[in-house]
Amino acid sequence: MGTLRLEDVSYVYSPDTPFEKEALSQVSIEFKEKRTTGIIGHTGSGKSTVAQLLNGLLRPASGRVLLDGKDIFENPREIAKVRFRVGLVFQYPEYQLFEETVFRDIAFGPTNMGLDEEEIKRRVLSAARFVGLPEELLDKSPFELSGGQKRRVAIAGIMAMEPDVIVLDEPAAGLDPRGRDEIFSGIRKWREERGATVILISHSMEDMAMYADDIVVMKEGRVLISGTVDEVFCHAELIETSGLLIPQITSMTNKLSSKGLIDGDGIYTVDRAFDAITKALKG
Amino acid sequence: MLKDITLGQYFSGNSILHRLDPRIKIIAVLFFAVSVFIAKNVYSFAFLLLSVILLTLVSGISYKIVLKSIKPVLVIVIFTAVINLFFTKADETPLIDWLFITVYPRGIKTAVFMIVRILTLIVGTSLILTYTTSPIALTDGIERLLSPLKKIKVPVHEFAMMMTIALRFIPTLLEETDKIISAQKARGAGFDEGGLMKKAKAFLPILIPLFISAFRRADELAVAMECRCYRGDEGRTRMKELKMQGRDVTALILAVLFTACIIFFNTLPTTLSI
Repeated sequence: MGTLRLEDVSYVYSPDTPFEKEALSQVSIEFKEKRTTGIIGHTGSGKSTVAQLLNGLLRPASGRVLLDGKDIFENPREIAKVRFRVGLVFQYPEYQLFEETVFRDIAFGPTNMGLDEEEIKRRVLSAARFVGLPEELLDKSPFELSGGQKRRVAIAGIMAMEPDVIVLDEPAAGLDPRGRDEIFSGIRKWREERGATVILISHSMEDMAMYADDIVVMKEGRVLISGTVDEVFCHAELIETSGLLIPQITSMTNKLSSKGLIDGDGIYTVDRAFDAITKALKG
Repeated sequence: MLKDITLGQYFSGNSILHRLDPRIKIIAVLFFAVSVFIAKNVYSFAFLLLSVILLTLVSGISYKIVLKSIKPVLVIVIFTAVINLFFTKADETPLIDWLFITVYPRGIKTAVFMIVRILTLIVGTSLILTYTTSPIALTDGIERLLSPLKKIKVPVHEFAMMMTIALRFIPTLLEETDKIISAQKARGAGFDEGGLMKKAKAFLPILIPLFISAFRRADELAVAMECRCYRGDEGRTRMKELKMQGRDVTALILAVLFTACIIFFNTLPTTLSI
């Protein structure tokens, strides 16, 4: 439960007008079950378009989006069910809060699913726990909260629908380093406990290196490289042609390794770099 | 979906229509609108159609876009035509007289002329003004045209500024609405089920965030304007001064001549008139 696949998907914005723009052309990506896949790319590379295709908010101009092997548009009337199974957290989701209390805002999704009160309450409390919202905040108005707390409320609102796949578009944009860590580890914990698939969209290589298992690098509406984190970070030069910066630690260790000083290409965490360097010093 | 609205939208370009002084264009549109309404026989309507086609060619805007702008008014056009077709009474033998439906030749004439009148009005004014004039230039033109009213203490500049801001934020708010709708749909919100009350209630998740963001934007814009020392009209200078040029005078003369032509064609004898 929870494999998503794009098959030769193309998408065009405002077709037949002077503003026509091809956002995706012939993109095929497979998101593996129970893993965290990162989609990374420069502004305008089509990564946010992919997010909206995954839960059927946009309909591909050609190609198919498959959820557990079934085309999500097989029955367009049932698209709402797909949206409950593939949760999408938009960029800056805090601007979409509207309810009187935090509790009711998180409960909006589950209520639309037609669940009973008991179940809604359980889901809201559990989602709030994952994103680290203290229970006393649940009765407050979402507009009294700080920016970071609002973001958590919005993410909890999607988590409370308990989807099989959760797609998060820049979940940590504009947060301070501690806020980033807390959000990302909340998402990780949620994935581990629920056995769900996570898709993260970001332009920060550092975040991806820390939290993703697989990475898809996009450039100008196409997939540039995809694979596990190890595989992708071995292609530092290729990634840099897409206008992205590889993690600082990777660019340093790649230089050391090209001079033959240490052994290892595509190191992307400080810990691994530390190991490689101590090994080189000892050996 | 909301982005597909073309009525009242500016398409940048560099045609002679784009380069004309906005004040002249506003005056020309007035002449054009008056001409559309005084046209009353086949010659003047043909002349109107011809000039709109000419305007399209001159503007360099693709005819597809121009045709698309007609779409939103199509219902009105059809409605007007049908009403005129069936409800025009005349002292002549009806073409069709069946049950309660009677159609006179005069009705057909009126219907056709009405279609031409509405379409040329929409397309013509869009081509002269909104399609080829940026909103900023447009409000600038309005401000300058109305500036004599400042003498009697009408806050012309403030009105123009308000209009500029309103126009400037239409696309932004549309985009924002689109985004909020998508976000609430992702949470399973339905917008087309249930009775009237339920439907109205379904819009709250869109309206509340939209209002909040509009207020936030207003606040931010006010601060940004104050940071750049905006304090109204007094002593304000412009980067782009509006200056009349030869072509503007020519355009003005053409606009007057256009109306004169319509009046002239109206006097030509023909049975095809209303």
